[in-house]
Amino acid sequence: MTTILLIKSADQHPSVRETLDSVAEPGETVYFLRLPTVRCLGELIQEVNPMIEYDVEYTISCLPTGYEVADVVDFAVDVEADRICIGIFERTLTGKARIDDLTQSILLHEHVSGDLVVGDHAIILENLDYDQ
Amino acid sequence: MLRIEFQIQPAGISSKLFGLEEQVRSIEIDNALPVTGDRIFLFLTAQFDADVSEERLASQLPETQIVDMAKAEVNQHTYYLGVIVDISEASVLALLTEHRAIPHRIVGRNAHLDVIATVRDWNHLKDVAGTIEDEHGSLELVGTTQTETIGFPLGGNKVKQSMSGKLSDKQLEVLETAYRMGYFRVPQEVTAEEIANELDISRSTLSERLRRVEHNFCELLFGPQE
Amino acid sequence: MSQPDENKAEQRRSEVQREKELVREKRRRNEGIGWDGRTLREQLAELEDKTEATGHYAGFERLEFKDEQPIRYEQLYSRLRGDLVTARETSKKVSATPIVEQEGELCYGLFTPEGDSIAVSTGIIVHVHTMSEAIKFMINHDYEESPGIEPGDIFVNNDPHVGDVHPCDLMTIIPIFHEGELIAWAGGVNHVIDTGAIGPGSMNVSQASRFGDGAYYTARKIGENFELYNSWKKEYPAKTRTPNFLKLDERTRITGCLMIRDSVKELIDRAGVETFKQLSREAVEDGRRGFRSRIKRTLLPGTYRGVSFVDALYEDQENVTREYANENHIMHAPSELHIREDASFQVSFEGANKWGWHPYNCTPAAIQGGIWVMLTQTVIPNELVNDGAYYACDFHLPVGSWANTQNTETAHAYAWHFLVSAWAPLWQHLSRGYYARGFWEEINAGNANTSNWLQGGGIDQFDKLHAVNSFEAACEGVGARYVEDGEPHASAIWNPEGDMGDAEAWEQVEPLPFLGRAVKPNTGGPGRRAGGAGFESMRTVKDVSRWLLYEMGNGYMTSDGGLFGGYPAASGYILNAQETDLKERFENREEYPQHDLDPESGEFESKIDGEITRRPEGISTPKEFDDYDVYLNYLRGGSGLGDPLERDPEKVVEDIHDGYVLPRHARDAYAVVVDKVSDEAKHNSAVQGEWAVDEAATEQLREKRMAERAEKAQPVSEWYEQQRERIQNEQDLIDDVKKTYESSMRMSQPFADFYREFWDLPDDFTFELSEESQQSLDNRFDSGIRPMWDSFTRRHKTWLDVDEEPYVPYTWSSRSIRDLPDSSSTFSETGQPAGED
Repeated sequence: MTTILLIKSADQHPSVRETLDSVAEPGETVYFLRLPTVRCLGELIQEVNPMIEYDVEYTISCLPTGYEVADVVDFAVDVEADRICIGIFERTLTGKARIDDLTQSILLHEHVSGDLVVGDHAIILENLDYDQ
Repeated sequence: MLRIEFQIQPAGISSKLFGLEEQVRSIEIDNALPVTGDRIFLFLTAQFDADVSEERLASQLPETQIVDMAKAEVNQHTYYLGVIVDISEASVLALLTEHRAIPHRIVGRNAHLDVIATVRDWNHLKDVAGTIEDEHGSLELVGTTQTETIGFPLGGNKVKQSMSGKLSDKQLEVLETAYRMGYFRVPQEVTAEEIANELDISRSTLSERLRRVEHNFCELLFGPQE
Repeated sequence: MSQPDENKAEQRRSEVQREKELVREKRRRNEGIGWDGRTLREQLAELEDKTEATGHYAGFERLEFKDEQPIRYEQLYSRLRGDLVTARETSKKVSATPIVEQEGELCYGLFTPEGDSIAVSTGIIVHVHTMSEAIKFMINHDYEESPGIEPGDIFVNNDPHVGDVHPCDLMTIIPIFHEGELIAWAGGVNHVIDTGAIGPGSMNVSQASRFGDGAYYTARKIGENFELYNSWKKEYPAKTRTPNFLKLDERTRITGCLMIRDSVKELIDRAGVETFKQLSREAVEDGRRGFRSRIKRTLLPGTYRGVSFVDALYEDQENVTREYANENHIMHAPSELHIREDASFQVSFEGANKWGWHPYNCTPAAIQGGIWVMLTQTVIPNELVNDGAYYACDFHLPVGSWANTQNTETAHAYAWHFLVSAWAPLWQHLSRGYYARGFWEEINAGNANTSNWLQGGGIDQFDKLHAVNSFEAACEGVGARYVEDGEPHASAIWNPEGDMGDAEAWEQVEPLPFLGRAVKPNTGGPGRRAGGAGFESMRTVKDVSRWLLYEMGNGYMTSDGGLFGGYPAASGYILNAQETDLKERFENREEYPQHDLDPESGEFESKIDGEITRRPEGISTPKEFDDYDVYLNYLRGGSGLGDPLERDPEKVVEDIHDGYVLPRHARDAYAVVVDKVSDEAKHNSAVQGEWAVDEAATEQLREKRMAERAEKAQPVSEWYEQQRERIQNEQDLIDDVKKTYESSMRMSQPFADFYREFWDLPDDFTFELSEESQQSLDNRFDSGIRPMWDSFTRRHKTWLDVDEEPYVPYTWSSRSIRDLPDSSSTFSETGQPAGED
């Protein structure tokens, strides 16, 4: 299994932990994909230690300023991602996980489909299927 | 199942109401019943900036048949409307139900419609959102949450609405904060001190506001105190 | 500059411009300067995560390159290492100080992007790991964001809290880029002559806090495009008494770094960047494995325990900068070496006493680098010296102790004083292990605190402000080995390549003419194998004004105790003469003192008139010296091994003829009776005549000594009871000693429990201290911590927090490795801890 974790903020520990803990399986490969809002994941990795604590392989990649949702999808296709996890940073008054533009774009992207699961700290797009 | 919240541009009856000379603060679809053919009976709650008469409305809404209009008792400038319109006038409602999505709330406010609905899964969401987007030009997903049950369809917010008119914004804020922080749980998850800190008010102000809230609740349930 | 040089510089500049463009392009894509678009910090975090998770450096469970192309691998590695040595040998000639040019107090390292050393030159290889820490500091404090790390940048560091032993070791670090990626760092460090401390010289001793240590340059960018900033060029010269020397030292370091950069670039051109990356990773993992397998082969698992002390006496010294620093210090270094069954290696200083208002405090970088250089002289005696060893060892350094102050107020100018004294027991730990495994050739009695530092400054013979710092100390007596005597006046472990330097070279830069230089007898520790003797230089002072000099070394205490019945080396003392009649003696062609080879003989005093100071201490604060005053620079010897009564008497006669032992000490120390058989011969400066053993008398004397010993011996239980009473009743214990133990007990509950339990003392036992001592402890314990790092690296956690250290069995009683699982227990087959293979 291959997981992409979209990183929007360097303090995204809870969603990273949730993903590594209850979504990704030991031994699988996780792609940390940082958005232009984040310059460095070093501190987060030092805090979480994905390999020591969760036994996952991982690599870190980034998206440039002005990227498009197609870039995320292309990345997902390239690495044959089975799932994309997106951190939840805020909830609506009624407790719904707030969806940002990127998440909406992925959710409504015509070439990606699968299962959508809303966790405590992450929105997880599972069993991805790419219709290119 | 997924409960989703999204925003779209008003269309049909909602955009017409927003187009009135009288300023509309909010409109909510409380209920909808079929009439015949493409006609539909809509029950709306609309809040205006000032009082408004049925005649004024009727004259500005020629396509809309106003069946009934009543002024709410507690909330200022709020009216309950029963109207019969063409189903296309309630397009978002129609699109949701056509696609077997369950509408929970459709509220027009600040020149857009806020919609809460339940869909089966991600594909269903894409279907529904795609169709609505085609119809309304744009759609902005606001939030989503996982849910096990369909929940209460349209109109489920009635109790909350009746209450809110009875309580001031500040009282509502106190009540909601206290509730969310776990003040009403047994045992309490938070002290009054902590809530007061959170709201940046004194402890005495907090307890006074909370008492007023309780008083107003009782008044609503049991009528005015003798 | 010659034409080829200019062309090369021009080529370098244009390369840098091109590289910079690539780096900036990557930045626009939100990529970092590390490998595959990562930032350096990401790369470091990932590396540490992988290393710990897999038990192999960077997760390299296989050494693909080395296994598949062993010859090619060795070729490339040797070339890198050779180029580092060449860089040192070539660039040291740029420097003007004999410290670098004569004695070689210089070292280069090549580091991975994460700051792990791949290879090092010869020289002061302690800095293999201090520069690593400086690089990791820059990475972990986001230097990539600000001030930015770009091709052509030049960084400086001398902050011991960041990555250094002490601030007089200035380091220059440059990043090496290839196609927009940082692929390595080159670093060079040398010991400068003056740091601008409150007293002249590189390691002033009179300050109480870092504010008297001199200038600290905290991992700072000082240039770009391989050009120093004008702001830097204008700043540091005024912060030292010796600006020209520092400028040349800096050119030395930059020269070496550029040579290393060229070497790396060439290697990449030849072998490709992927090969270089693979090589750099594998070299560290190979170093780690080499260290582990060496431990497995030469030692036994378990806990080795020992202790060392050293004195630093400040009571009533002049020029101490703070009244509260006017006190005596004793360093207490309880030392444990834990060798676990997976052959991992931990050095623990649990129970070390509090840091003090003196410049001998240490930071983790200092301890790790220092102990590590010592290990290169015994555990890793080959050229595969790199940070692999760092990954094979861990250090438990209690926060707040002298070994890890975590307080940026503490002074560190001569951290080595405590550091070298504290590694004394480590030699013994290793030697005991070697003995048990039969590696007798490796056994060494110890190489601790053998220096004196002749330092000072003022207006020199050229009428300019100057400072001096004699590095004759790089040539001292070495500890005795099991199979051979220690080497006399040979080297110093902190710079194994060191040398005493030519007297003429020192005289060029020091207004301190040599009156004499000779091997010093009786300085090596007696033993079946004798410790190597030290030597001494007698210096006078000429053509100076407002000139200061001071001593720095051990005094009453020798840190090395000797091994297997061997004796410690002689301790230090101070000998000065002021207001002398030397000028008249020169003019009248009269005798003058050239040596102090037998301090008890009165010879020195007979050849000079003046105010003579002779005291059994090692440290003095800066004192004013004038023309024709005299200063003895006495470099100590190494400690002995085995019972001196077992030493071959003929060897003792050789010692007499070599100037290592005085005839009367042959009797005292070795029970060897010698007769002078001829008065003519003069084998050395210390002794006149030809000597021979009186075999019968010797045999008799040795028997008598043995009988006396038996007479004097008592059962341990009796001795224990006496000592216990002495401690309990606080009899015959000076305040300085009590303060030392009290400080350790306050620092460490495990130590306090251990101490009270061992001596069977009440649970609430504490020593009664004088009001001054009590106050001194209180004011230091109340100072709290002021760490320099905002975010530590993962490996720092081994010394950072006791609670977060589950995999480290350490400390005194409860966590020492007391019992191995069974009596036949030895290293596990695979060499890996369970589940880590």
